[in-house]
Amino acid sequence: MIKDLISLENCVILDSVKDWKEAVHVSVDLLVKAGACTEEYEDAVIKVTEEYGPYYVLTDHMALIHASGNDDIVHKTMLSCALLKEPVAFSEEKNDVRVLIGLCAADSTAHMTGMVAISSIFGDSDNEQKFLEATSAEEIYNLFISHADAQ
Amino acid sequence: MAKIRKIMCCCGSGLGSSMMVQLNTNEALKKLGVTDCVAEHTSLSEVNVNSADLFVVGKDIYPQLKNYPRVLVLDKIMSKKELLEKLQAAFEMEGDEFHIGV
Repeated sequence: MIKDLISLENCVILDSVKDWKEAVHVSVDLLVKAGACTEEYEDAVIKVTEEYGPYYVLTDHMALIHASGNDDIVHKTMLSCALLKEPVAFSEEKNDVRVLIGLCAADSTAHMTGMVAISSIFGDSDNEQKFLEATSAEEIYNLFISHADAQ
Repeated sequence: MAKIRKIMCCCGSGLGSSMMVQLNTNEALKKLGVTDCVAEHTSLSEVNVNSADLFVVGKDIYPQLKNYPRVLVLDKIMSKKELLEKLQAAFEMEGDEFHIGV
């Protein structure tokens, strides 16, 4: 169920973040506050980014911020979403990111419904544009809910 | 025609983009009418050259798999259209070694 994965409290709209590390912090912090993972998960994401690059920037405007985490740092499968009014750069090429989706996964399949929603929204440029134009956390949350059974 | 019975979608953590690409691969296989092929997903730390006939990765991850025999590289990881076209090309390939999209 998508409602087990994302809540209204996990969705925010922010003016800007200063760099990609703050972007990671913002999206993971929403998960930490919801009790889904510990602060160490942020270090895991930073480490994997420094090792492989920001491969989780999946479209021009969206980053699916995550790492693999063990039971000690990930307690629960959950998504967060921060929509930025000003874009942030994850690399020279990936410099126009406005949607920060945080994901922590307690196993390899429980977040499937969330991935269906993300694929439905961000695999379609019209849907992505609608998402980028959202003006409230409620709007963001409702878009996730309505796209979860799209496939 | 290349014999492809198992496709492994691979990303850094094996959770996010690899799962989305797996979902999109299943959809593409249906569109292509391919019924004797399964798609799975995994992480870079678990991927094994013997675990599939074709490996699908985003261009960021490709350097890690450049020595694998059959690799399909996606420029836009979320693009169903690009995946469909490149999968079709993979099934039409002759020979045991090919890298598509590099």
